Amino acid sequence: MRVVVKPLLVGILCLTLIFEIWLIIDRLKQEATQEIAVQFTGSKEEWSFRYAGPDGSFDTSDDLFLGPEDLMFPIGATIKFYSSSEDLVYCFEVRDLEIAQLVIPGQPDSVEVELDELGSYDLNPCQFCGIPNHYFDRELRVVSPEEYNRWLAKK
Amino acid sequence: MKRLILALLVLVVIAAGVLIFLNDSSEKTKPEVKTAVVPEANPYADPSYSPKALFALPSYNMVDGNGEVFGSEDLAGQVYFIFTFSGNCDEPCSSSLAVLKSAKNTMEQSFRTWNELAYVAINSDESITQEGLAEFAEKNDLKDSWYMLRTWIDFPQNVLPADYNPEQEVMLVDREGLVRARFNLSDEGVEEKIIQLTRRVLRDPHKRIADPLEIINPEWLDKRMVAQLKKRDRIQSFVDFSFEDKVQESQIAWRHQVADDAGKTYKPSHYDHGNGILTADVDGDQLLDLYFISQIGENQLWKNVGGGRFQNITANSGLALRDLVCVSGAFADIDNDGDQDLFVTSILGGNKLFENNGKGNFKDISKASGLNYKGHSAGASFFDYDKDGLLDLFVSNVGKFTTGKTSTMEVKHPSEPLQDGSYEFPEAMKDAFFGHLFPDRKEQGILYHNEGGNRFKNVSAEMNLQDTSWTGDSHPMDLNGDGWTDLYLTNMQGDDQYYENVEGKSFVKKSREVFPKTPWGAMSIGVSDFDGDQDLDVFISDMHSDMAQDFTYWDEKKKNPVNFPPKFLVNSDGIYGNAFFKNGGDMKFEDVSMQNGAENLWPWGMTVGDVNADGFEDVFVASSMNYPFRYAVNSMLINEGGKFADAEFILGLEPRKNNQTATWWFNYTDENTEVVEKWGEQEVWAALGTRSSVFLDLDDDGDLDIVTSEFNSAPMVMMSNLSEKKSDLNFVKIQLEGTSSNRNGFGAVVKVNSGGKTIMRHNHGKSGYLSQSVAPLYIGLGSSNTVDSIEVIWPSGKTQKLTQGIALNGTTRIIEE
Repeated sequence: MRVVVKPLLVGILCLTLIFEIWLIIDRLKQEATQEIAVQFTGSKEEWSFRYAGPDGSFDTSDDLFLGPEDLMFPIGATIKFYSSSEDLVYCFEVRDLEIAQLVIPGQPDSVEVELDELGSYDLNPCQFCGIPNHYFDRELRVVSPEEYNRWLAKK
Repeated sequence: MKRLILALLVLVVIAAGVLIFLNDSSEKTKPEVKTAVVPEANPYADPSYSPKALFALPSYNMVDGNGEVFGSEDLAGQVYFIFTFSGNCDEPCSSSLAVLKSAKNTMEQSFRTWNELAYVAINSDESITQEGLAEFAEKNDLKDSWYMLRTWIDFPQNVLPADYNPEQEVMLVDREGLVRARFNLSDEGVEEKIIQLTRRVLRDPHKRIADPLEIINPEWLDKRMVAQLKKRDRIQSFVDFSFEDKVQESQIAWRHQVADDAGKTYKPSHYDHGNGILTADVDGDQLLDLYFISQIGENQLWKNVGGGRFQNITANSGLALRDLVCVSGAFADIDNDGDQDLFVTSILGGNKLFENNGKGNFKDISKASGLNYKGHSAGASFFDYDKDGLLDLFVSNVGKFTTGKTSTMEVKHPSEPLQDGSYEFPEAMKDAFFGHLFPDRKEQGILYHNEGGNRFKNVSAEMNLQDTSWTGDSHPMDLNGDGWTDLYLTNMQGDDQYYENVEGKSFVKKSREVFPKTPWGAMSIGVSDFDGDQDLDVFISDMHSDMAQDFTYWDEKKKNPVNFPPKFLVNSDGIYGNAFFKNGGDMKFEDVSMQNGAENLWPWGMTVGDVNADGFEDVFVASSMNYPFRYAVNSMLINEGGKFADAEFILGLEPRKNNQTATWWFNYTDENTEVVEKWGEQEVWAALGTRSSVFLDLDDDGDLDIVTSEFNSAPMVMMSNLSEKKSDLNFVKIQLEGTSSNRNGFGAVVKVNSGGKTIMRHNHGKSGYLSQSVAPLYIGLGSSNTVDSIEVIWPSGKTQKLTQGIALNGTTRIIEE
């Protein structure tokens, strides 16, 4: 009996340790590499916004199209903004995050930003010499992963 | 024992695992949330804040001080106060009334736009007679805007608040008869509260909409004035004089009209940039006349009839150009016949050249002259680049900012019908301000050579001046002092360009060599020997950088950070703000605008002249940004030997007459909107703003007055009283007449030796943004009352020195010998 119990306990101990290490690595990985892709498209003096969804790709069934609402992102995530225009030159900016993205027809572009601070940031079209007709006034909100997941779940 | 330790170890590891697992699947560790400090709510910080209605005032009819029935219907559509008292209004009533009268006085001084306030004082004492009421009004000086009534409003039960406190309380009633605020007049700070809330209620939509709201009776204007007046003692130069807007007295009844793409169908485009205003003596009577240029509607020529008055002579002049969308103009004697001809630019309507017959009648010679280019032209500058005695011309072309389609518009001004009618204009692109990103939208400026016989030839290619910058204006100047006039081009979307004239044979682009960095969004340029060291300094205004975000006036005197994407800037590494390039000699220029006070906010055109006659040229910077933006003050920068002091409030240039900050912009008729449904057709009002100006001594009293070109409004005629206020006013006016050189003497350098000093002026004719004029040089002599000599270096190379026949405090005509 002694012969059986001891290796059994050692085995359980090892398995438990391996499981713990896996959990820790997984969480670190999740926190460190969460990437979210968002597409900004200017067309007919309007902007449209869509999230790539869990598969990370656009033009798939899990794409999330936004209505006239704020954009949400979890803290710690890396956001990649893909921008394109179908007609005019557009530009958007998040001044507090030092993002200003010019969008020229036929020249899709992208910009990446890491969101490491909770808060709300103004997201507007750039103001070069006057307020453009395609004006919008939204917020880019950086929230906890849980709040982000709840928001996502509602979509 | 070992078994026990092993078992415990297993339990600890398992427990730890469970904890990690549970922790991972439940809420993760919450990051530290930074909670912002929420400031105490300040409703006035929000310009759209307006107090909500407390209750409706029932309709009423009473007897007024004249014994006539007066009631709520008589005050419909008006914002007013109701104050009640009884008997002789003893304490606390009299103190309350004093507070209300003080608030009224302050509001009358600060509010002028939509200032239809009335004051109703109701004596609830039934025994008061009509005479008693009148006597009370007389005794308490309750005259203007006061209505004295008897008895009381018959409030239905429970409408009047139970805590209503007559004799100590005043109610603020809006245009709809709703009580919007109640003020206890014994409260501390109540006067300020009354002013704040009344300001907001006055902004309510009624028959007029302000866009944005805060342009109506803005809070900051008085504060800014007080701040500047406090610094008055720091100014060493003479500022004990003032300007007063005497447009009515001048009899000038003209109004600028914008295209709808700068109003009703607003697009951020180059229509925003406005028009010029010029002066010249068009009929040879030795008085300077004025030519006003409009975007839409009629340009007008006003003849100076003396004494600061003008007469409209447009009809016979041939210069109305009602069907053109005009931009700028330049007077010059193109044929050296002694009268001033005129060139006018337009957007896609063809530029125009008019020959003057010497009597102020002009003949359109555009086609024969070869100057009828159709494009997106802006500023124009005559100068004799090859010194052949005939004035050549550079025309700035902005770039393609229109779509190729034509828009129609209707003008129906509520009170000034001059520009009323139907018009067509080229439709602006919606992304006009990105034009510099598209090579196919570039439009090259044109250098024309004057061939004689009123014919001009495009020599841009052969003279190597093929500039495709998004240029609004140009300025001729002999910057390197070699006697050949060079050219500076202000680029509205990128780096400015500087072309050096190589002996009239070609131009060499030396932009970055001479000016490594220039303002990114340059509008206008002023050139003078600002610091009196006998070389030319260059002052550039930059509007576009100031439009990159919302700055406050506290940032005015510094360069501001902008957030332009690199792709937008293309290869530019510009300056964001004005630039004052101090000439350090050897063609070295350093921007010292932050050190010498040359920064201001939202600047358009600058005009340079010695408004206080101290020998240093000052700068008026036409500023502000109209629909749908902010009101901003024009800047008057008083030159103190190369450093500038702000003096627009000190000199009475701000606030404008009657504290006006806004004006009618267009009529809004969309019946689908709530406001139109409720109130009917709306007048949309927007911020006033100046684009260009000209200095001239229009009443010939020995000082420089200022006439402005307002965007979508009537001009200001700011008359100076320097000649009355400065006991030792000394000046010379110099009128040049070239013989070998061009007759206007454009390109000549004048040096006045007076009181041991030499004052240098270049005669270039540039009189302001988008404007070139022909006027005598005005040179203040400070306290010196003698002129030792005047030296003229003519474009022909001849030098002439006068030591006699110089008219102190008058005009000296110098003919080239």
